[in-house]
Amino acid sequence: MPGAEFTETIARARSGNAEAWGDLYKQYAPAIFRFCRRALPAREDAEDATTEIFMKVRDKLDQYDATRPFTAWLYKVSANHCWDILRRRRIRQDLETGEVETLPLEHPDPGQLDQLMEESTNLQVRSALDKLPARARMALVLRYYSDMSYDEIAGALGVRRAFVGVVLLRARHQLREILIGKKITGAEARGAV
Amino acid sequence: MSHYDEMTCLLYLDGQLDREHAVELSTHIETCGECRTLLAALESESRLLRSALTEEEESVPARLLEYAPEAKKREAAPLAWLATLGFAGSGAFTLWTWFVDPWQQQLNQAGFGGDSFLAMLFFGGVFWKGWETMVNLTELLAAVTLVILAVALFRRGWRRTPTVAVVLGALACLLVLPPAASAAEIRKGTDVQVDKGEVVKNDLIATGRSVKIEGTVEGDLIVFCQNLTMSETAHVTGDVLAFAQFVRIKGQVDGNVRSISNLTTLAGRVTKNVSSFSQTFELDSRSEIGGSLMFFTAMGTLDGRVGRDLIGFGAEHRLDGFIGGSATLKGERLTIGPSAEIAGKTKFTGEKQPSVSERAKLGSPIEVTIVTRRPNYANPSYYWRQTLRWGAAFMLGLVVALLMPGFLRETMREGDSYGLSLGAGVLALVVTPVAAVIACITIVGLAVGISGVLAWIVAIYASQVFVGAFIGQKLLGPAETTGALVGRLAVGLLVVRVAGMLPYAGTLAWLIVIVFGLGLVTLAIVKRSRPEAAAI
Repeated sequence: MPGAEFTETIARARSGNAEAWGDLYKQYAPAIFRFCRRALPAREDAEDATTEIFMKVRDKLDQYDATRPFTAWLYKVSANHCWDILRRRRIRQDLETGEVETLPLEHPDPGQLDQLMEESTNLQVRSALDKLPARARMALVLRYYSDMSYDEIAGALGVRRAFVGVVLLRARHQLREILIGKKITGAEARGAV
Repeated sequence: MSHYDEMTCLLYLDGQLDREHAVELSTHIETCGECRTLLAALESESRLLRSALTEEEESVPARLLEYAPEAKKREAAPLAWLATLGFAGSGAFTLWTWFVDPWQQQLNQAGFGGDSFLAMLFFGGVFWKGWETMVNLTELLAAVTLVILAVALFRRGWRRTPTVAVVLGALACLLVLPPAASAAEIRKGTDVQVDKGEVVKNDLIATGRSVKIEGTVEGDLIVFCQNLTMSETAHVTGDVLAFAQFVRIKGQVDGNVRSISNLTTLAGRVTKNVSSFSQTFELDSRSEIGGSLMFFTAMGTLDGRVGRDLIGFGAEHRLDGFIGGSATLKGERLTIGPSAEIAGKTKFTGEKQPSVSERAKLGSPIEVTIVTRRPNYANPSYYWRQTLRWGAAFMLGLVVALLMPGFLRETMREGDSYGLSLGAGVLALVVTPVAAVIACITIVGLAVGISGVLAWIVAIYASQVFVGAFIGQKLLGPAETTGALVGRLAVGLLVVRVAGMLPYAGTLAWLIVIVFGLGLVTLAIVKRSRPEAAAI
């Protein structure tokens, strides 16, 4: 949607125009569903969350600052919603204290890291992501799926701005460990045959 | 030479370093291979993450693409809504007072006891005897399969409260239903026979091609077969419940007889009441019924004795026997023969004037109401009735729209392929009762069969709701809120109702509505049971 047209759609949706709202929904529902799918454990959860997020969005449309990107706002609402769901289910037991983040990270061997990235497939990365603790996964999704800035991620996750980089790097390390584990088991499996 | 740490490299890549540090780092990597490699590796990690996360390997569920959820908004109830609800309420009330209640009363008079007819037929007494004996592994598996099917069907809506309420309610009903039952004997085979002189000291459930009873059953007899014959020597001390193509009863039944068959011939003695759903029902001149007789049949011939009342619905009735109570008959034609004797009142509602023999003995002059199939367009009450029926249908539609709006929308989408829906409708209209009968014959499927027929009847009535919603949407455009959906439903139902009021074409219109509506429901259910998603 070109800018002017989009601004008008938003304005009409705000004034309660069902058609404009339908247009907005149709345009963004798939992206938000995918976002939820990445952030939440089960497909059914993602489906329900998508519906709920759009109900919230419609209620809160007045609060959207039209001078800023709509997608960023939409992802922020979505991130908050998914984060709430995870918190309600208490699967945020991990990393809540932040203690783990203060542990020093081992410096990676750049060559090995590069090789690991070369060998890993999208599918492997996704299944590894599913095994990550909720906050680590959420941080990666916000950054690399939603393209949110560090500021926005800090707001969505409720952490200090300076801490976002640590959360992201920690998440990458955890992801690598899972991927390496997979490589070994994969090689073992091949060797066994 | 010292190297930059990974954190700084990541912040650099993400543009989070301040200008001074960024320049420092970029100068450093010009000469430091290791840091350059690290940056490249981190960057390819970012790329991999981005591509893994944004890859659209999975389709978006169709239901999400279809409609936008509405926000909760308080809307003032407009006058039209109040009027509609008023009509709906009075429609439901009328439906009850005009049809259900009088029916129940009539049925009570016919000896069905104080309970409601449905309760009697499906949940009470004879149907559930032998329940315990039937609960073996097969039945258990059947029940489990049903539950799994139901869960699969509504899985997506599982967490939604109304669904949970409905499912739990149904489960509660199931738990309450089977009353304390006594064990029954079950006989299966091509030809099942109780020989002359043989005494079955128990309820007997018999299935087979032909079932012949010559001996005594000290309990109820429940039969599913093609051919049931109870000879002169047969004696059943309880009730007889027969699902068969041909039912011939010459012997003695101390309880009630209920038959669902093609042809039912009664030539023996029944101490209590008889009810029959048959194409042809014959009460032989030798027969005697102690209680009342009720039948739904195309052709009813009554030469025998009925101790109490007679209630008959059908096309053609011939009455030439004795009725101890009153006779209430509805149908096209009635012939009362010379040997007929009716102690109580005789009422006939039909299309043609009945022919009554001069020698027939009637307790009081026959009351005749002639009805014409053509509606009386000049009579205002006709329109009032139509309005109330519309209201009743709308009430049902409201329940559907509020309880399962998603399902309603799914059926509405199916409507766009007219041919497929009509085909599926014809199939559902014909196959469901056949399948239900087959299920009943296997006994295992008795509950399934009965529920199937019940669901089928409800679906036939409800078909106007689905068609109405579809038409409303076609006329007024897609509905996004449930409120708008209900509005379209009201308009669509009005269209259906008006089409059904047309002279001559009205019947055809109703047939199309029923077939089309059944088709919509069937297709939507089939799609639900095979959850698929639309690719985008």
